[in-house]
Amino acid sequence: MWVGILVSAAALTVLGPTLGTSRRAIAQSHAAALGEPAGDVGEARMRLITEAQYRNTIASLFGPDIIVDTRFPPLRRTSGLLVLGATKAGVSASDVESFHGRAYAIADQVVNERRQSDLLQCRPANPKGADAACAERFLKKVGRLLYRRPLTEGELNEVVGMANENAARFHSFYSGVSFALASLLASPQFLFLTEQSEPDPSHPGQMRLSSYSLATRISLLLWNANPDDELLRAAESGKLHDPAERARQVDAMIASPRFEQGVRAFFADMFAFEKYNNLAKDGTIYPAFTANSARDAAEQTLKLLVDHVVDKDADYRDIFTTRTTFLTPSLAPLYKAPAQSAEWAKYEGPLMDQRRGLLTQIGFLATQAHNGRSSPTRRGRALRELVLCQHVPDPPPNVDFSIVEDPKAHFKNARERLTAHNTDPVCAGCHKLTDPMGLALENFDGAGQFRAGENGAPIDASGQLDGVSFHDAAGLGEAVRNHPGVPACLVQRAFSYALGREATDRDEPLLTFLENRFAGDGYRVKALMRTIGTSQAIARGSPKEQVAGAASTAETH
Amino acid sequence: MVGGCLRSPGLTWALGAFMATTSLGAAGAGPADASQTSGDSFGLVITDLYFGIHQTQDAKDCPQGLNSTHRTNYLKQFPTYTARTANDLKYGYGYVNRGPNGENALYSPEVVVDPIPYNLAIGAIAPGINLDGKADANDFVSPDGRTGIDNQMQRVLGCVGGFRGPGGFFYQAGNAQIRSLRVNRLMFEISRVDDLRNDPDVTVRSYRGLDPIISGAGDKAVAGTTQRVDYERGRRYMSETTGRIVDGVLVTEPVDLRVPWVRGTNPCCEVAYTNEFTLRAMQLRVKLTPTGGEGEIAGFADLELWWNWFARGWAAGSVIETMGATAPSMWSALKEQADAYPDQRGVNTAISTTLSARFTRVIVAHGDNSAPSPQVASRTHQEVSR
Amino acid sequence: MMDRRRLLKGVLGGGAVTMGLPLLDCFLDGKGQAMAATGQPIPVRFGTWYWGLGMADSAFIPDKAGSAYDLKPELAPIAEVKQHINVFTDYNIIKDDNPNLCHYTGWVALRCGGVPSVRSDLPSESIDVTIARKIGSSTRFRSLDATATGDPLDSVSFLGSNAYNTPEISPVALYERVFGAEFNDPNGTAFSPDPKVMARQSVISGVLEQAKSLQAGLGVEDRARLDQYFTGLRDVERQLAHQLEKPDPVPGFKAPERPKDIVAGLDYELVARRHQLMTDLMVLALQSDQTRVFNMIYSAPGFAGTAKPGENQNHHVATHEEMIDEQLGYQRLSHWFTVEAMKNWAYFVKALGSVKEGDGTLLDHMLVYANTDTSFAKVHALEGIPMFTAGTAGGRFKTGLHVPGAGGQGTRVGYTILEAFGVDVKQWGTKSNGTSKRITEIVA
Repeated sequence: MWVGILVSAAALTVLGPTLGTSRRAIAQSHAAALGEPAGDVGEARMRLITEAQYRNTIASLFGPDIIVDTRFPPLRRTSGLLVLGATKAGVSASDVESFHGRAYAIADQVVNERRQSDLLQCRPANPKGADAACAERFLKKVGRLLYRRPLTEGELNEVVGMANENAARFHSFYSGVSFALASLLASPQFLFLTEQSEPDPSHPGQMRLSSYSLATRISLLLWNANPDDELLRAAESGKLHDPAERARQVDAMIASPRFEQGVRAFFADMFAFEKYNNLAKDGTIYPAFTANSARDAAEQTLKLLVDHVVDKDADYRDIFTTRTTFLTPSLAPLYKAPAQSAEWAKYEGPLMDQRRGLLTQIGFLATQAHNGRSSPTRRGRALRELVLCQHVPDPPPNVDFSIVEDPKAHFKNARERLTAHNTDPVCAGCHKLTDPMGLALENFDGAGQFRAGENGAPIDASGQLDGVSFHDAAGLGEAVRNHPGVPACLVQRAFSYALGREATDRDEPLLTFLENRFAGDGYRVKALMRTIGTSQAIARGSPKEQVAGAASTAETH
Repeated sequence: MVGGCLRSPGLTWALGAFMATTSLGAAGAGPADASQTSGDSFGLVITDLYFGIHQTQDAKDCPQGLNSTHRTNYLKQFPTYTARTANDLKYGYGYVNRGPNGENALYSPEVVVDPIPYNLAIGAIAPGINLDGKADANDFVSPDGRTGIDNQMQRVLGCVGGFRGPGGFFYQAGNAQIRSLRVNRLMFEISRVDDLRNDPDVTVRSYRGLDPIISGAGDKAVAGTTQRVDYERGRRYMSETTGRIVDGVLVTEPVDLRVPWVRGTNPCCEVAYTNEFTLRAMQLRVKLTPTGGEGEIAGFADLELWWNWFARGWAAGSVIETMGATAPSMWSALKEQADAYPDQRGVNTAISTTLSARFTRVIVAHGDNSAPSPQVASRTHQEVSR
Repeated sequence: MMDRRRLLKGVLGGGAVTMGLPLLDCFLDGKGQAMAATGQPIPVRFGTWYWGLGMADSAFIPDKAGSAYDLKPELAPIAEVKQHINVFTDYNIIKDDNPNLCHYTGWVALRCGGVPSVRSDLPSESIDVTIARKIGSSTRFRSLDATATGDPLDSVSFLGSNAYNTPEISPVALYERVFGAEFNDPNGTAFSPDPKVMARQSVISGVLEQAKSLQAGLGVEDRARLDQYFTGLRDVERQLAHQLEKPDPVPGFKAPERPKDIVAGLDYELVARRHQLMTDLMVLALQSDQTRVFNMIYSAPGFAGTAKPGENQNHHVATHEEMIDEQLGYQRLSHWFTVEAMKNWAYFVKALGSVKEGDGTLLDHMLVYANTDTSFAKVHALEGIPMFTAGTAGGRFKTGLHVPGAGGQGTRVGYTILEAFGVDVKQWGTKSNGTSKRITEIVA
């Protein structure tokens, strides 16, 4: 046996130089893939398009000034993400009605006089009648970008026929095109994102996504929109499955200004931004917190994230310790600071001495609090669930809070109330997961304003997070930053977000690999997105799906 | 404004400027804690403004009723259809162009004669300040019992429906435009404050601000917002005087003040023409609260400047109809009730006037123009340049 | 079952149009009244109302059973409309081996008959969806849903786990949807069918064609979701057909003005104003037969957060943290919130009863089912979870009764309602909540 190994080693050494070049080339082009363990095989699910994806797609196709003002059906959070809810969401009758109404409203705007020349790029022979050629040119281009693949011949004929029919009905070419476009916008082919798989030639026996489906996943991850023309062409040419080409596309998309939309969408999902929709505070208890404050609070957090992970390309963990924030005239009074300008302004001044990072921004503090009171438990729970991806069980149905409201006891602040409440061991079990961190934020009231004391007593903001102690919000930020669960949670969320499914036990080695890469890349989100975008996992197909090349699609590669 | 890329703000604030205007209160205390003696200065922006008129129940202060309008006077002046048609065909714009040669009642009030007598408000109570330090026969008593109050304007405006609350046209619209138009943003910066309850010597400066009023629930102005000073076009509204705080009430020494009060109807016209009048020897009397204050801005309104403001800005066209006033009689009453600044002939050219105001605390931001010295500085009663 | 088809023939945009349209379903077997204007039988409608966080037994449950029941403090607000309302107390939900999911199990069970096992679980469709399938397929809208909370996630009307009916959250949006550009005023003078409608019909057939190819590659669950889309598409089709038809005049109906929108927030006064504006619009929508099934939420199904300015506890927090007042025997602030809810319930019933229709009122020609998520909210109790009905369902129900349930299944109310609407079910509800026992006290 030893001899065999020696011989093999010798053989390799002899053969080495001749194999070297090609092996190096292969090694280079597969650099991203080398070492990536296989993950689980996911089940293909059809996704309902989200509001943001819809809007981003319309804006990129027809311009950002198209008004899309009707309300979309809300998605329900599933396994920590709304996009996972999108993989299960159905549509009610009122939702369908709403999608149709929206389609007409958009189509009308697209064909109005101002846009006609830019978008249609051809003039009808007679604007008062049908012009199949011009209609076809427009609808073919737009249809491909809406359906995320070229229209089939049948689909194209159908939609051009509709344009002609309605051009005749209204004696207007543009009206005809408008209704044809509306039919594309209202079609389930646009509204539902399906995934097709095909056999993977480089892994016999396995399936990979079709090029179009891969393009869609990448575009949703990085830009939260339908794939653009260039990405679709890369898909059409078959080259998207080539690792070098895929890497090139991913890099270009990350460098693009549209990447900001992808980052916004991802973090808005991960950090449960739907909570801002109804954010309102008691006007007598917090008079400085207005409707504008609520709206600006959401944007403040997103601006911080974009500034940190996109503009600065900084270490994600530092989002919890940064002294940077953004103020508007409506947010400044909550910081007791002068407004830095009439609109948004970055602020890093002395008032940030008391605050550190995302957890001390108005948004987190105010959404995880009551109408007229702070909530250490909610804040602690949100930290566990949103930042650390840990589950905190619901309270039991028959919990008795009355010890907290006993008028004979004089609890001056939340810490005293919670200490009394947690004398009950049933309650303490979960509360010790949440309160020690939430109480560190008690210097910030329910509207996020700083307070040194409550009811005459100074606030004790000390606590601990999984064994790490601190005595104020800055210390909490530091402890969160260094918690190993923070990057792991981000990776897990990004994985689920990109692949449209929950991680399973079989994904463990893959997640570990991604976490290690993330760490090696300095915990930079751009790098993580790149890793996932160029991974084998995102291109993994599923066996349940139809095989590409079936009659219903026109994929040619 | 919200969302989208981060734009570099139009006006960025140097750290020095920020330091120069730190709001009252150390970190953690803030405007909510009035008893603290910390900090140097604070701002008060006007969030509500009315002409100070004391209204009695059932308008007992107007025993002859409220005043007539141009239209009612016109109908009395030309009682028949024929007479009216004749006048209208000759001079147009019937009920205003009714001078002997068709002069416009608003712009030639001394030539047009109103057949219906004008009703002055009677009554002894009026809000305001004892501007001249004397107690004369025609002085009022304030609702809280102070004597010698100078507010002859109450006599003139008190029976004009538009100036009376809560439904009067000017009462509502004038106040609304104070809130909504930034060109009307008047504020005071009180500095060298050692004690918010009692301080024998403070400095009070007026500025025009650049920022909107931010309101919360119930339209209540939010305290602690920022107002940038309009150094570019607002120097006319800058003044400086001294004052003192006695038992939480701020009073000031007389100084001339221009009051911007535009009746704009849409944002486009804010910068076109700043309609204003002048209060000579203006004094403040403001009851301070932790989040602002309430009180009076009183002085002697220069008649011609006030008339120009009223006739061209607020009463123009048919708006005076909604006001419930007629120009010739009102002008006549103003001249009659004028009580200060006699000209060479001894005719008074100004009338004591009170503006009732509510204020909200602001942080006054001077920005790069850290020199707060005003252009219209006057601690003595000098001629105001027109 | 009586069916009448009406054909509209006309020339529209150059093409002749023929349409068959099933009109007012009749299942009243002669108990129904006829509309004065058209001689058609008056349709019976079904609506639901929801409030969060239950009630306090001692402040709510009447001492007397039957008619002439006494009104304790939490029911005092319904005094004016008491005769139209039935109150159901002492009915239960049996969880079997499922957990008590706070502010969830209670309302899910009473709305669909089944008890959920986890928070995302909805065992079957909600009762209004079942009834809408029976009576809602001839009106412009299959159903109309609204919530006064401002949160589109607040819904108790659902097709199943993955699809809730999305409620309108703004009075203006509800107005635009029902009475906006696409509304055909039945009492309007001018009516000319809009050629745009026909164009939209062509869009629908185009969409249907394309969607068929999508079905081929889908798994079972995804195919079911696509089917929901098709069902919704048929509803859109029906709406378009309605737009092409001149509606019958409705005596006494006057189209509403566009309301002003209301700022966001759960201040009880904002909620009440939203509720009132939306109720008024719903009433008009029912009167003009835009829909026959409707759902209104006053406070949220989960953790109702109605707030009172100056109180730092909202409704939900108060139910848990307040001590029971020794003198009153219930929690003071929580009770206050429940009274507010009941005031709005009374407004809702009164508004429905204010519209004259045939020989009676709109309320006489409908059945409203109202429920909540718990009885004693402090401990998320399911025992004695209260329910209401209002209206006689076209003479099928007696009203003005207090019906104590002697610990029986709460789903009996839902079953009795389904029976009244002629829905063919052997039983309603699953496992221990499955029932086929009608509540005879209320059946006329």
